[in-house]
Amino acid sequence: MNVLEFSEARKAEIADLVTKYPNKQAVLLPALHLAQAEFGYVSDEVIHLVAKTLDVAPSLVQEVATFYSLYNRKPVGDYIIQVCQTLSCALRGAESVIRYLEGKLNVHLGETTADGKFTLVAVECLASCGTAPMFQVTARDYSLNAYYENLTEKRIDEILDELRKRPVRQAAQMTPLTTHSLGGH
Amino acid sequence: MADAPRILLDFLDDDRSWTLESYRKRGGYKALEKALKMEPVQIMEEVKASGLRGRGGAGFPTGMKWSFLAKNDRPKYLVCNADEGEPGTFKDRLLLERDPHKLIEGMIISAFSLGSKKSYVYLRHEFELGFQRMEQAVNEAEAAGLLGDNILGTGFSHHLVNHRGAGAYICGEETGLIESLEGKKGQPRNKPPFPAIQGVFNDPTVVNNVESLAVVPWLINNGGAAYKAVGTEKSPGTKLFSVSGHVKKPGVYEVPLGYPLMDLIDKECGGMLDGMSLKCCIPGGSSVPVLTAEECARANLDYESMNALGTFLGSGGVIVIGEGTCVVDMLANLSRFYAHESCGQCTPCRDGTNWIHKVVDRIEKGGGRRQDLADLLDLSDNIMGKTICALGDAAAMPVIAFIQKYRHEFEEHIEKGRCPYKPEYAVAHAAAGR
Amino acid sequence: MPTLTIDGKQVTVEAGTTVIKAAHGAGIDVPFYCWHPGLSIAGNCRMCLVEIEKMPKLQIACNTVCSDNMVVHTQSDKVKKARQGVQEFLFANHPLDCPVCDQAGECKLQDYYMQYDLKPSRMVDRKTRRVKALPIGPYVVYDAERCIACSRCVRFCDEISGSKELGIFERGDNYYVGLAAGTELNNPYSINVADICPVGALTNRDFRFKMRAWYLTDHESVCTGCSRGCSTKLSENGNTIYRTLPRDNEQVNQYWMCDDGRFVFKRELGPNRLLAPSTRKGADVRETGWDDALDALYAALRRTVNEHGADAIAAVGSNQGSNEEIHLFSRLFRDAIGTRMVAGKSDIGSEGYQVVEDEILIKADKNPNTTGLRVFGNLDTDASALVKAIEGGKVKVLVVWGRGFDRVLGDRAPALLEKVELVVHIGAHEPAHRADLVLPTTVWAEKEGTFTNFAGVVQHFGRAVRARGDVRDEVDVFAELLRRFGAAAPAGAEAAFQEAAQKIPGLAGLDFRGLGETGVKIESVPVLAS
Repeated sequence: MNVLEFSEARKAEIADLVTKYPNKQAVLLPALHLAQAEFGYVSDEVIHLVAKTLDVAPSLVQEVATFYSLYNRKPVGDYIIQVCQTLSCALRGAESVIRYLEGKLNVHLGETTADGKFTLVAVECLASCGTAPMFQVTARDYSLNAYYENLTEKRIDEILDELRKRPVRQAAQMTPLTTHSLGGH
Repeated sequence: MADAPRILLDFLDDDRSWTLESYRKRGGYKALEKALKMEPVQIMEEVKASGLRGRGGAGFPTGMKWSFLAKNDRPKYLVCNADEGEPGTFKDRLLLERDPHKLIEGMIISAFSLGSKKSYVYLRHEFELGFQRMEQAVNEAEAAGLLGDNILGTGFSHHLVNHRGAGAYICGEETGLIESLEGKKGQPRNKPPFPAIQGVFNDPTVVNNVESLAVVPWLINNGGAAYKAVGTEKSPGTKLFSVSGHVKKPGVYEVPLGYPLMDLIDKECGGMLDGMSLKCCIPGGSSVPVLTAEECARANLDYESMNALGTFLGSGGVIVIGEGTCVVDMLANLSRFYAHESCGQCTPCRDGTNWIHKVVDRIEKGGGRRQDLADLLDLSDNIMGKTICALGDAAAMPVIAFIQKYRHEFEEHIEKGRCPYKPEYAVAHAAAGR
Repeated sequence: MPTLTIDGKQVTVEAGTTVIKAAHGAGIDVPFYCWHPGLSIAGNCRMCLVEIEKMPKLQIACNTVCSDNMVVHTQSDKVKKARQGVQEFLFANHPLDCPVCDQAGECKLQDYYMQYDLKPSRMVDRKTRRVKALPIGPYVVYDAERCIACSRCVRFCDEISGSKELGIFERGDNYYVGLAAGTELNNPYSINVADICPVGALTNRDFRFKMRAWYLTDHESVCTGCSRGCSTKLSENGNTIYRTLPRDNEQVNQYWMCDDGRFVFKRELGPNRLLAPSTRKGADVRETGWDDALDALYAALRRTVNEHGADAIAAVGSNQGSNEEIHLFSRLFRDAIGTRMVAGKSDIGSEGYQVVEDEILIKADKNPNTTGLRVFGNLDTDASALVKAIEGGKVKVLVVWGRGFDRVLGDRAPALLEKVELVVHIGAHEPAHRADLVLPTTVWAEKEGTFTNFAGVVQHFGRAVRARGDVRDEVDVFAELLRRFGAAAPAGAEAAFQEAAQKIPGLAGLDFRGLGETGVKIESVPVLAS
């Protein structure tokens, strides 16, 4: 297994977070976000690193990393476009937004564009129902994490153009492991 | 609503409403000064007197919830539930982004009353802007001596931590939230013990919704009785309603409880989209039973009126649906949501939500069988009231209501072997992305 | 002490008792999957829902504490429908692979289907497919499709073994029990998760596909792997033992046992068994009948006493033997022959064990009856004086019982035993040392008896299988020799135990048939000077 280390800055951030809680485990969710920002996704190595950092069992970290939808267990593109598909957005054209993006990016839901720039996913309610249809764009390094609301095809084109020009920090390279992972699907 | 007080939405005209300066201009932190001179129990009495009911969805009286907090030597925690995720609801996000100081002031006052030195605001991670604004507001408040050690020189100290989630609807359930805050999967706890006795980090905890806590400064400034005078006898005060769907002006509106639903749609929201008439409305977030157009005409937005119509005020997420929309399609969309968001802990919810989604989706896609409707109702009954938390009920209630009120549309799907609605009205087919 | 009513029956329980325990205590069946008396309450299966008057919703019996005047209904229509609903939900994605499932016959899903469901499933849509037959450790295999996410295995690893390897990953219907990458379920107690898995999701790799559960007969036993003496049962069919399972015993092992203990039967019943009495001279082995063998031994012992005095006879006891055997062994050599050269301990060491000792169950003393040796045999002596006597050429006849002495002597055995005229071996297994006369005996699983564990709990074990060959129980061997010395001797383990209980201070009142399933703790274990 590759040995990963947090950068000194991340270590300091985590140490600071720990002071805000009565125990280290409470920092698990924020620490996984920091790890994801640094390493690009929550790999098996990241799970062991976070477990070691917070003195908790790796199985617990993996439970948390797989329970929440915002942790990526596989590599993703520079930007994850998360289209809300729940009822209020669906009533106002979420499906059209998805179809438009699929055509424009030449991917299906769940896939990453060939140039590694965009990963397209459909997500559940983002509490932006009054400004539907909408999506959230999260940069892999968390340098951007914004809502784009009241979408039209023209607006989507503009957003994609802006994002194409915007750089994202490359994540530390990691080799995926062969593991016991079972996978639900 | 010119005659009703603006208790929460007093910031809409200010384009820098999230700053301490703006909040001060609106009388911000006056309530804190006043409250810190009161006895903690007096504050609780004002909250009780106001009749404020929890605005997260359950509607449990806030003052009573506070009074259950264990009286012992353990540390006490106040936790703000800012994990807004009930489909159709987006009011808390507005408060977090546009008026964070109101929430913070409400939390400090509440914490003083509860004897809590530490509070956490559990924000869903998607709320990046809300989080940034809350962080900024905490920093401003600390710098101004309004938060932190020895607040306003009174000797009372309180620290507030913004804590971010990671994507799970179930963390809006208060014990799921507590588990998540402890660094675990957000799986709700069996009750008892209730959080007031054993909450976060096993210590006594009060969990309140953003909107509930944001009301507190007004209650201190104006008194519980003034709040009680607004709204109806049993549903006092104003409430934020998030309106979405087929209306001209969707958005967040503050109206006194008891306000007619159709006035909200027609006056506040400017009516239905052009060329559309009202088909139905889900009045309290996606989990509550749908109201037909005819029922909407009789509906007032307060707890009792909603119950009388067999539904709930819930979180105040009003989803307005126009004619031409397929209810089977809508239910397929919602049942996918609940199957996706079930935490997987208890049997009826984990297996039931998934099963229901499979059946409803099959009916929508033309593979329905006559037996399916009876099965769906029975499966829903086998979930209702039998799960660890309310997500089971939330998943079952829409199924029951949609089938009861629109059975003919389900039957039409089954008989024709296809969805009879035009594809441009399709809402659920985005399901492929799950 | 609240008094409540369950199904019309008045029940008074200790304060703090849960409804499920109160019901079970009153003989009322409340079904459950996730609840386990040795684990924390998860309340996730929802099978134990009961109706409690004045409560609007059904309540889970496992997490509801009894209160005074509570009125509980476990058989109402509402309760029955809820159970049926839970059953149907659990079956929604569960494969109907009972014919190839090891759990069949002892599966809660099957049992409760027969009791509470008995309806065909209404599920017509595609079932969720998951991983099957995945080895997750050296002893346990996982089938995700059969898993009902009760979390018993996860709680076991968190709360009992403390190893925390397992988690339930993903959420909703995508759940599966898993391990963090690069780890495996390899703690000293791992097989317990297969025992407590209420369905066929976790099974024991060693037992898997060996025998259908309904062909097995469970025999009450005690583990001989260490001085803990876990209460066990040996599952047998056709005179073959297939597995060891722990039995509940609050004062000894709660609900668990270690992995090493599971396999003791293989070591004991397995290779190197002696099948007939024999006399040996080097490689020349001659089988003899028992009467001839015992006569020869008696004659040798008699002659040695007469010619060299009793101390020329040395005897090595065994803390692998039962209380009854130890009692008669002690009587034979101490009282009837009168030698002072009697050693007690002849320990089996921890070679081959995964774990020497821990804070959970495993004890460093790998012998089941070291306390019995002291209490029932007054044999708290080790072999040092005896070895010295052999070295000095003072021992003419050496009787070694069991195989622990091999370890005491080690490499010195050939040279030391050269100094002894007659070496007699009494035991079930081929000795490592020279033996001129061999008397083959049964192992614990082949007979009845009692052991006294490290804490002084005297437990009964029963016979699981019949011994092969012309072998005898030690109780019979020692009794026969006693009689040849003109002493009265009890017939069989029960009589030997009763005799010991009468004779030995501190054991008064102990009754062989009164030990029950979980044993009796000797109030004060007499500590003798060694």
